[in-house]
Amino acid sequence: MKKKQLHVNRWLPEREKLVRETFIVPEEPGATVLQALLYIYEETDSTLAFRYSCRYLRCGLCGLQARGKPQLACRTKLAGVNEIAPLPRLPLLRDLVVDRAAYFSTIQGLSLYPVGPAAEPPVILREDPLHRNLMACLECLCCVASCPAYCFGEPCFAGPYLFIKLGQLHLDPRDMADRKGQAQEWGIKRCRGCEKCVCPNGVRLKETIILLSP
Amino acid sequence: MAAVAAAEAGARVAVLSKEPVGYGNTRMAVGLTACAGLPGDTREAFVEDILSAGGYLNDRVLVETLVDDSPAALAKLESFGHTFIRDGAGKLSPGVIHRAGYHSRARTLQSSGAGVGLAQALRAAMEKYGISLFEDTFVLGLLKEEDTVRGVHLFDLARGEELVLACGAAVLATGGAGWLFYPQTSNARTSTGDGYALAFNAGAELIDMEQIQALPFAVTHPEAYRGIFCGEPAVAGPAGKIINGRGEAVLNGGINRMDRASVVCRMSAEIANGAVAAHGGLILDLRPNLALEDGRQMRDNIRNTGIFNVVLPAYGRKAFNWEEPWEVMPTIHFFMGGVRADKDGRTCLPGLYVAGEVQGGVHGANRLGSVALTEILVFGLRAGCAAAAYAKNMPGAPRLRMHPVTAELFGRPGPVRPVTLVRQLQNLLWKSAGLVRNKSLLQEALCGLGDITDKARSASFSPERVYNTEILDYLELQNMLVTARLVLQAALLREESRGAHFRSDFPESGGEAWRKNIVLRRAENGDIGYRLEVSRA
Ligand SMILES: Cc1cc2nc3c(=O)[nH]c(=O)nc-3n(C[C@H](O)[C@H](O)[C@H](O)COP(=O)(O)OP(=O)(O)OC[C@H]3O[C@@H](n4cnc5c(N)ncnc54)[C@H](O)[C@@H]3O)c2cc1C
Ligand code: FES
Repeated sequence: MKKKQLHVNRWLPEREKLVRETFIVPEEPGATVLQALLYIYEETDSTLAFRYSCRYLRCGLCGLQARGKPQLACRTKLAGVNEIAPLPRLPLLRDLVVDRAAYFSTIQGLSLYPVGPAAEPPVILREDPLHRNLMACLECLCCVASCPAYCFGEPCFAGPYLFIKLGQLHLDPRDMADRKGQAQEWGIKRCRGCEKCVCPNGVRLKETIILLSP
Repeated sequence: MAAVAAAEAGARVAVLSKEPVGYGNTRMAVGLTACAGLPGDTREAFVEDILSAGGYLNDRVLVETLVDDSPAALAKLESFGHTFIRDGAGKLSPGVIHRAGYHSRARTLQSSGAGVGLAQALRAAMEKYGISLFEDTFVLGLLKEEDTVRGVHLFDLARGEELVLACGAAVLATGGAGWLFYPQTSNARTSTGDGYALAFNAGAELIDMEQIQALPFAVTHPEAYRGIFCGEPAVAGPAGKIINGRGEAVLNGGINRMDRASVVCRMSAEIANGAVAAHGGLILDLRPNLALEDGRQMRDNIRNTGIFNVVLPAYGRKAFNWEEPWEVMPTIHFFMGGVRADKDGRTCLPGLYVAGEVQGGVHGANRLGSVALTEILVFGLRAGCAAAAYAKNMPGAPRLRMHPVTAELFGRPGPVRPVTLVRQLQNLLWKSAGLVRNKSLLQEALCGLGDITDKARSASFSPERVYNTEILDYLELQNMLVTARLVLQAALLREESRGAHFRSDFPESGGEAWRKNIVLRRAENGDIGYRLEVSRA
């Protein structure tokens, strides 16, 4: 079987740095980056830490950096990928594992649920098509990792992910809170004219940012 | 949902999860959720559908509770921001109420954002109710004071530390154990049956552990996607055919009217006979549907649920359009059995409650599609409420003792890595208890588990404290070994074929005489004790 080298940049918390290691992995037709990681894990080095759950596009846990941009490992074909790294800009636990709890703690207290009288089905509930699109957000944080303005630890700017959450609520007829106001407090102005963020699952980031912008 | 109900009842609540909160099988679900009370449906029809699909091994009280509480439970979920898809006028009209496979009436709603939408809403509720989250935190054991569950023994993966958390009551909502059969499973990486093992080790009762549902259709290749499901009988449409490796029809039309277990059983027999296609599966040909008048519309409707998304990267665009056949193989999907509990999730152990897939008794021998999500909503709310009421009367500060598990593992050298043993166990389970079972296979597998247990004693571990995946594998392996033993033991005991349980040495149903639940409980010496009980259907 055809084999190839895969360089993996691993975050070592003990040394607080990224270290590049090279592994040999099989390259079957249709192989994905996740498959290569599982191969390394099973055959070579089971200390390699990475998150995954569903194996194809249903959970959003397998985000990493490949070919210069954030992607989902289960969806990215191994062909053409020679080097991978953890999602940039985000706090890390080990190797490719993002410290998600640390990221989410920075957006605590924003009441990211419908605020207002609770609705009961079968109530009339008109869903905006953009809302449906935003609900497909896998929360993989690839958008945050691709945001040039984002820096973990800096207050009051959480990157595009927060704007997706605020966009969902802004479009939700059950929600009475001022989500545009929140977007402004959380620095949506920085997004003007940028358009560098990416979503591996087709969530309409640009449209949402325009919607929430003053 | 349990956390929300408990918080509403005034309890201080913490949610512990070995991955971030809001993942598991719920996040991966298609999001189809059955609800009672919709036009054209009746309570009796809904209850009867679940019981008859379950081969009358179900607990009728649980089934009736699920049906009766479903409208309020779905409404509660919507109040956290979830949306069950409405028509253009914003109403739940017939066009958006689906008749899911083998239900006699239309009563299934689709979720905006599928399971991810549901998971986002549940996570939002954590913030709304001020619930403390312990993420990347593995529950190692339930701690008792005398006979009462008063705490949990934790392993904080992010720090590599063990801790004890005292509580007035604990609710297990740990999901199923499809991962015991990886890669031949639709399930999440975390479905390692921890809850069954935790409950068994603490002395709770489990029922129907032999009843494990497979979905008929999962992709067989490429390796990256092996076992990922791409449909249930409804996806075959009225005209879809299943063909074996010799080109003979195994099922010729009408598959969409069959239940999951029957299709799987037919396919398994064919696969066991060796008449398989290139990757060990059978061929599902959906092309005949396209010749029907509304064939393309039907394909688009089914495709819009996202149920066979994986066909696109696995088999390509033409297959995704049903213009080329798919190679398919059944895949392990759902544990009908589990911890025995009443309609409030109360187990026989004081202080221990369960909800969701970890609970047994709702679905009997075979689960209907779209009822599992209803189950987690309904029983989550009930268990949380009951646990909070119980915990209110518990005195503070229990005396709890825990025996450290991981301290001696960090940095221990050894001949075998935990993941190797995990894969051995999965391979063993798929071969012995996957689709077709018989006495000698099951007995051999029980011996095989003993071998894996022995090897695990000398497994090797790296010394790193932060997010040590080898320790995680080992902890899960311990639970998988217990759950696997429960499955094999129950499968040996049931000397008939019923629902999802097929014994090649007892291929017929045992009829009335076997309308019984197999109840398992830990014996004094640590072995599995059992009794048979007449089903409460
Ligand atoms: C691909 C797929 C599609 C499905 N689609 C549908 C559908 O459309 N409709 C339907 O009704 N049903 C569907 N199901 C079934 C349904 O999704 C599950 O039965 C249901 O989500 C189970 O929910 P749960 O809360 O019991 O468990 P889960 O959602 O699996 O959650 C269990 C949680 O417990 C955590 N956990 C486990 N052990 C431990 C431990 N030791 N310590 C700490 N945390 C632990 C896990 O990490 C996980 O987060 C589907 C299932 C799959 C796999
Ligand atoms: S593993 Fe779930 S999205 Fe990649």
